[in-house]
Amino acid sequence: MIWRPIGIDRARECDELAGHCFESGFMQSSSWARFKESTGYCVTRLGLFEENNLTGFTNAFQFGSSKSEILSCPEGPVLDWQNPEKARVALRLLSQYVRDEMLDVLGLRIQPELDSPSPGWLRNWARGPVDLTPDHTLYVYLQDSLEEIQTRMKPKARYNLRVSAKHGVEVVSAKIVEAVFDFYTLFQETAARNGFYAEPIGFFLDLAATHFPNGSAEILFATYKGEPIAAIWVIYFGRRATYLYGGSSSLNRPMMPNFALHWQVILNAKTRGCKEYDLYGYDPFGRTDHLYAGITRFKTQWGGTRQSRMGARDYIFYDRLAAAVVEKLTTV
Amino acid sequence: MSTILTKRGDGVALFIDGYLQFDSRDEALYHESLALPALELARRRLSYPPGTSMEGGTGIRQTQNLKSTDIQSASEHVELQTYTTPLPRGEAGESANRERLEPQALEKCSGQLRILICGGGDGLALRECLRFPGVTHVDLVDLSEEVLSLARNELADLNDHSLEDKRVKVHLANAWDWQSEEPYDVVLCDFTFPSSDEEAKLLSKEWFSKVHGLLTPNGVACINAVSPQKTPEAFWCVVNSIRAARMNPLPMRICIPSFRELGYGVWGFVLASPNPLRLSELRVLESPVETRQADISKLWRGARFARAERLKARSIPPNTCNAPVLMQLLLNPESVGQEGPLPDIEDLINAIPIQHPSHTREMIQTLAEQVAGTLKSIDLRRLVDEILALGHRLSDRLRFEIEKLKEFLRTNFSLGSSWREWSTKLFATLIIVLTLANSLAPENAFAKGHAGLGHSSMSRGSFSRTGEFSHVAAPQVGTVTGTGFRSSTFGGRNGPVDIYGYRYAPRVYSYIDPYYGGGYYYGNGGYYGGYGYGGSQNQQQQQQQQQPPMQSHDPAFVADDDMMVMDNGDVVVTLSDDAFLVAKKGTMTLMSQKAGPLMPVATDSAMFQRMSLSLEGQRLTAQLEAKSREEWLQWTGWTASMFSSVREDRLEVKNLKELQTRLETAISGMGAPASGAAITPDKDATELFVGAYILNNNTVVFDQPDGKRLTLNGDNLIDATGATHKAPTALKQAVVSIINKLAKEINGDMASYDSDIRQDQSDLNSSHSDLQQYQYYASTYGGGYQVDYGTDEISADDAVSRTQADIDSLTKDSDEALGAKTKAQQDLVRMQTVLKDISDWSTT
Amino acid sequence: MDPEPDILKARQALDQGLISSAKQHLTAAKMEGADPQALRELEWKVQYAEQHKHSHSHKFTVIALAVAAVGYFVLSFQSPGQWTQIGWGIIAFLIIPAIQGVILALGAHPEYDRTQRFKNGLGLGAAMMAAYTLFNLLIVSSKIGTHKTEPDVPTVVLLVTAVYSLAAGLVCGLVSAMFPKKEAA
Repeated sequence: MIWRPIGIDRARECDELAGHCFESGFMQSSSWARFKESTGYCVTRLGLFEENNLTGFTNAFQFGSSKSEILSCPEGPVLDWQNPEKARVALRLLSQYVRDEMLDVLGLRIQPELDSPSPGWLRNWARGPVDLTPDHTLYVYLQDSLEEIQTRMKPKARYNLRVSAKHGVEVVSAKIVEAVFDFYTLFQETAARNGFYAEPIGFFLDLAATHFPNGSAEILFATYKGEPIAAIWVIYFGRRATYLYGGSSSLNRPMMPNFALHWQVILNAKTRGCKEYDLYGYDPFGRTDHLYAGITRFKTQWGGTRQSRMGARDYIFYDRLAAAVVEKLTTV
Repeated sequence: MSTILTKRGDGVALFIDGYLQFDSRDEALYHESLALPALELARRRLSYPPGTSMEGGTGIRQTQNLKSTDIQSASEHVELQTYTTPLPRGEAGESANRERLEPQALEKCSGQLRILICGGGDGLALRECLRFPGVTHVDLVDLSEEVLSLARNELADLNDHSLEDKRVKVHLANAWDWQSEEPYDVVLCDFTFPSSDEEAKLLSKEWFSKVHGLLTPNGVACINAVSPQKTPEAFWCVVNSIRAARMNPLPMRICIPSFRELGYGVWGFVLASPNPLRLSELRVLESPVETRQADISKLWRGARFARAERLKARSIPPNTCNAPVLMQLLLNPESVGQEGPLPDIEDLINAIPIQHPSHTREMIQTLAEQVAGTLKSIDLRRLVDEILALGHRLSDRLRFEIEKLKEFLRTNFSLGSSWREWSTKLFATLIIVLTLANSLAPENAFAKGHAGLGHSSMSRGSFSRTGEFSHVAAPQVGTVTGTGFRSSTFGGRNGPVDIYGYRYAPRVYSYIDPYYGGGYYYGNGGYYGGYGYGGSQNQQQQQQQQQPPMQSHDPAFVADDDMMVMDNGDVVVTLSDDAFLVAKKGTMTLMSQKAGPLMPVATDSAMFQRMSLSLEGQRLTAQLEAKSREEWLQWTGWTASMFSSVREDRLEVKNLKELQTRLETAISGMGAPASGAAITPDKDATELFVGAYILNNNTVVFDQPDGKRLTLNGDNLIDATGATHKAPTALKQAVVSIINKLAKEINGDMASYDSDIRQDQSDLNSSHSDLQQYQYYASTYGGGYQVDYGTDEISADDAVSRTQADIDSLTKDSDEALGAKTKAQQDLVRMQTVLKDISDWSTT
Repeated sequence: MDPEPDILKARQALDQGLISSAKQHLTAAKMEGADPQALRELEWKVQYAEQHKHSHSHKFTVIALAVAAVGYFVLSFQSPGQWTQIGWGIIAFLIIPAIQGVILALGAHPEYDRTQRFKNGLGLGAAMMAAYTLFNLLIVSSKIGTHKTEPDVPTVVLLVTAVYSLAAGLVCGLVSAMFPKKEAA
């Protein structure tokens, strides 16, 4: 078993591996790597070879301009996590490889979507302070029939779905860059309303440019009388569809456009052969005073299955961290 | 690199790496301003090299003499000084006039211009060059195959098929490596906006030295820089870098509508030449070719910078490959001149530079706070050992401090909140290093509107509990963006509105004004008589007669999640569906939705302060908002009959003014409690709201304004004197509803603790069994025997000590979580007991 | 016939800036066989005067423009309400345009008739008012958050600007046209 750098020419093979891996996701896709590159990140593509066969890989990200960073593998590395003994060796080799070959890296952060509690053999990987993907999320299983999916939904959601249909809310899909501007208007309004941070438009343009051409993402607009009133950004990768961003105008809320949108995602993802729809994060403890209590309430109406993952894990190279601290100490 | 060509309005726009390169609607403005001044300056210098005197005997000079003689002879008898406009003074002025008189002569001498375009693969700057007279050769060097292909296909019409011109040689190469034996008269640098230090190299001293080397002595370069408006420090850094490369820069700014639309600000170009460049040269510049959007003769206006701006430039270092500063200046415009000792951790965190274009100060701060709160993921003992191993690089004092820290860590594993006492500097530095290291991917954790940053709970403060903060709106214009104030009334049946103009679901609060009739609290019914649970039957009847009817009040304004301002100006803090607090005249009254005032409760001065601060901030905002709208109406008011939006503006002003009055009434009506009336909650008790607790004997106590306590026990309400009264039903119902709401929240927290504990327990179990195994290996095969520790292979001794440390830390975490859970459980049990008792009372 | 009186009259007319009158006398002088040298000189002068017919009034236009600019600039210090709506109306629609009109009238070429002067005044008064109104409206509107979603706002801005400009332009034009000025012969 050996880790070594691989070229972009193995992207198809890698996408195949990551797409089938339950513990991985779109953040290990070649499209996402290109997206990160276009926003200034440095991507290290490492392949895991067993007798010259590519059996695992990781796209590891590092921001180009700064030294002394933590190299991170969101939703990765892509390994055979079902086989702990193998995964353990692979991880050991990975940390060794990074230590030996990437001298400016302070540590390694991984976040395979393993269930919580984390396996004991990850004990030298400390719980990271920041998660790369939500550690609690909901999966709507798509292999069931639409009737079954609807049965699992809360009655209120089914009702609201009908409300949106009754009002004549229509959902249109867009996979062209121009749609980003319409999406962004709605997204910005939502961000301002709820007081969360909105990425600049360039971020979404890059996301569109790297994901639209190969059809791995789309923006769905809910329109009312031809006007877009809500939109969501969905990524399709391998076995999973993921809801990434959403926005809606504060007018037209009674039309329940968000229900029509997510239902359309379910239909589209089923057609594409996805096995689950990831609603991407919620508060599993139902805290009413939680900042995202409202969004949690919305997401739990879809009857998704709860996923509690172990979160990000850090492997710190203490000598390098010490050196970085000392360097800062001597300059401050 | 991402290249996106997209439709924008009726034109197209090109984005590279998320930055707008051009919008076809105003691209000519950009490219003409970039190319033509440099070309024209170079052409003039080629024709009249600086230093050539008028008497130099050039052909042009002679023709000019001829011409003016002609005029003179033709107008012998006319007063000449009124005939011709006075000539501008100075050499450049003269040449300008020469040119005005001599187009053909100039054309002859305009020489042969060799041009290099670096970047600019879209071919638009090239188009400008090719239509300029005298251009014989253009080298275009661009790194992006994609952009060049766009230029040859999609953009070919826009750039007039410039890449196919015979005079043009296109090179797919990195401009950094470009070399040429023959120098150029004009070099245009049209690179994309830098987003990393690597890209910023093309705006560095080294790069400009290369450009210098590529230019003829009289050659002119024009550099697409950054915005002097949005990032003045970075702009002057570019100018200084050019100066450092021994060229003479002439900075100028230009307003490009599509750039401004995207918030890039006024844009900056820098003209540069090995020979001096003066503003006066620009002042007399005229384009020999017709321009479409730019007015070349007016460009000089953008080259005038205020003295203050130029002075600012002095303190800014040039950008060099060895000391790259440009990116930092672009992302942290405020960072210049902030060097020096940083006194405490907040400042240190503020000093963490932003490193990625889509990150914000807020993200970094949250991230830093997150890291600071999660130092436990770092094995501090190991880190301190490693730091001491590098001790030779530290000052004696620092080393001493760290030695002390190590000693401290040896004796007390947990640092807890006392870490500040120990080498703040070291920890602040650690936080900075970690935050920098983590700045990798905060956008993954932000903005999705999901779990928030990281895995910790991000819950919002509430006004109803002690010691919790809530946000206070800072007054600013442009806050009101929702349409909540744009209707005939706000509040009431339409539902209350918040300061952003967003509407909330309506809710009616019914209560009796606690001050109705004056002295209602201390009425004739004795101390608590007014509430029907004290005094004699007779007094109660009297009270009943005096009792005014319940009034319904609609909340008009949502000041915060749980704070409302009523239509009559009362301030209400909601506790549950049934219970709320009314703050009035420095007192706080617990109200029941159904039965009106229940009792006065003790006031917390800090809470009052928070509330009035929040209200005052919002009042100021409303005032500013109303003012701007009034001004608008003073201009446009007469069109109200034609435009609904103007009518709505009127309503908005009316409503905002009403809101101001209401908030004023609210603030003055709320008053302030007697000074020093601060509440420190009993740590062991379960707080229901400020001044109300469940004690460990399962009784609910209410702190009274006079410092005494009322106790709700069983069916009884016991006052401070020990006298027992029958508890009113409304009070019991209110307590039940408050407890139910609180229990929901605590249940959520419990689930979260449970999950933590499960994880810790599972880790502890495996650690214990591993510890036994490691100890076995160590005793059997010796301490040096290599064993698996997680995914590492280390010696058995090391594994034993590390596992022991893991167990210590896990035990501590687990104990903490258990402690919190036990407290939550205890709270729940108390609540359940109280609830059960109360439901028993209600049934009996 | 003696051409001298015509030459003299033409010169006088030129001195007064009455070019057409000068031309008439010049033609008459030509017919009467005046000295070619004197004729050529006069022709030059007439030609020159014709070319520079507007330059005199240009100067006054610039002065009127500057005065109006200063006036509106000072007026921009406060909102109309702070000047009191009536006071503001008087300054913005009467005083400033009237001053503009007077300056224009003073500088107008003697041969300009009332219509010409009115047109000039209308243009200048309207332009200055348009700049002032547009600038202020855009600034004020940008401060109002709810305007971002109001489709009406640009129309309101344009309409108000147009009406105010027309009003100020009319005042300026009328003053310019009515202001007593030596009449062309």
